[in-house]
Amino acid sequence: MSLTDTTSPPTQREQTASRGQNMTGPKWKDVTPSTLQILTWQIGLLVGLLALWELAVSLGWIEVYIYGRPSGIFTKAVDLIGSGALLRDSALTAFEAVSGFIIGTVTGSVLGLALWLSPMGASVLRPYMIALNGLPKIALAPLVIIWFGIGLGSKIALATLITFIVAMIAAQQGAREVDSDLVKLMRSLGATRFKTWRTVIVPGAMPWIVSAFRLNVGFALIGAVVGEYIASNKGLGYMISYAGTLYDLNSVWLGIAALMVVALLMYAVIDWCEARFKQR
Amino acid sequence: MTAILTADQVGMVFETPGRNSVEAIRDISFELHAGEIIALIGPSGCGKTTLFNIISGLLEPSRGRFTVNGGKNGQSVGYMLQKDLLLPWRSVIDNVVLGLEVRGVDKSASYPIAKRLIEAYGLAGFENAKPETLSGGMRQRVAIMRTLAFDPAVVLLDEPFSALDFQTRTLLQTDVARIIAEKQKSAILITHDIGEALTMADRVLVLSQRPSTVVRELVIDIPRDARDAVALRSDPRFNDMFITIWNDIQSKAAA
Repeated sequence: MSLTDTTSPPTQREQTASRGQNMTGPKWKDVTPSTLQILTWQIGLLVGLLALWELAVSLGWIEVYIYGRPSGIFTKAVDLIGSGALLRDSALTAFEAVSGFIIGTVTGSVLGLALWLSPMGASVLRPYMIALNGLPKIALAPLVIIWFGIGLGSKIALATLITFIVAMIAAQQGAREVDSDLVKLMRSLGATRFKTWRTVIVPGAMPWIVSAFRLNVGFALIGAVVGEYIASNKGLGYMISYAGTLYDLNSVWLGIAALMVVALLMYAVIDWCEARFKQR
Repeated sequence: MTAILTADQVGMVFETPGRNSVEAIRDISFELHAGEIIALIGPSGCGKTTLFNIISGLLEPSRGRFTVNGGKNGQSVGYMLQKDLLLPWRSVIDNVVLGLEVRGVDKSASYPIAKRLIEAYGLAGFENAKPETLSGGMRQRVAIMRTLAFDPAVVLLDEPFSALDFQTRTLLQTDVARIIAEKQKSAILITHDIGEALTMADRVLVLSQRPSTVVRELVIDIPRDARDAVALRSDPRFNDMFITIWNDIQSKAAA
């Protein structure tokens, strides 16, 4: 009895204290902005920046041949979309990036996960993986172009190579981060190494692998575009670098915008896959 | 009484090249009888984890012999840890059947076993729930079901309730002891909680600091069904035993 007697007064005091705190509580409102509000601001920000840019060029604050201008980009877009050239270049670059992404990410993830099955293999490969991880992978571009030629193959190969390295390292790291007590549990249940890998390691490493997918969207596009910069006569990378040499800034901006659209579409596909994966 | 598990002068020395060897366990002997729960209790750092790994078959002792049910197979031991170790991407029922799955039992045979356990131990309706939607106490219930589903000879409980709040812990202690008795299992409870040992066990073995060895064996002669975790606290025998064990641990920890 005495125990309840001594504990109840503080509880009451706490309650009054918290009530008092609410009255003198934080001044700012804790309101979540609506989706419509956010969208309005997002569009407003883009339109505002473009208008400011157009105005700056019209008033002669900045030179159009160095910066381009929104109205010029728009005219160019209508032009190139009408002729089908923009879509053709975008589709080509997207194809290179997506092919490289799929081949590189899948093989890299599988190999990275498989390394968990062979501690020996993982130990042998470790210094090489650290070296590859630190290497700016784009430095491999000239080699890949020499090996695979100036056509489509070299762009896919470059995107594949870069995404492969990233995916392999992420998958191996993910496999290593799985709670070692889970491995212990599987061992104590009498599971084979392979069964443990399938049941605990592969699903446990999935969050790492999926986050490597996101990184690899960017890397696959870098591979494709840089491949096109170096040696090509089509694709968005070619379009951008060619227009750049001609000081056709409006085309450069248009190419960049098209690349963003391609990247956003790839992210959307990954989001969709992830949502499906989580549902299971 | 038949011994389900026998520890015969088990010792463990860890040799690391270039460093002093560490003797974790020295000369531990005990027998676990059918239907019995033994609690191993000792100061922190007393080699409980090493003993645990030996019992579960993950480590070979450097001296002595450890036998389960006549054989020498660690795989007839099911264990339960402080962490529930449920696979977050699996439903409750798929977590419960994990041990059976590893043993190659088909779902058509393992699901009914799991379903019976889930229904008998208060989680009916949660078969397809994901672990993240359960409370800590419910998750530990699933962990004990996973342990019991593949019918191990010995259940090894390694501080299984220490991450839970007081109320849940107290309820689960009584519950798990009852489940183990109902299933006619034998169990070893590793803990540093004297109250928990006295609530759940038939015998308590007090371990010393490293190198760990048994310094006292205490038979809890209060009938198990009268050992409701709350009722026990007003039993004078509980207090006596509590103080005896406390003093043992204190003096051994200081030495």
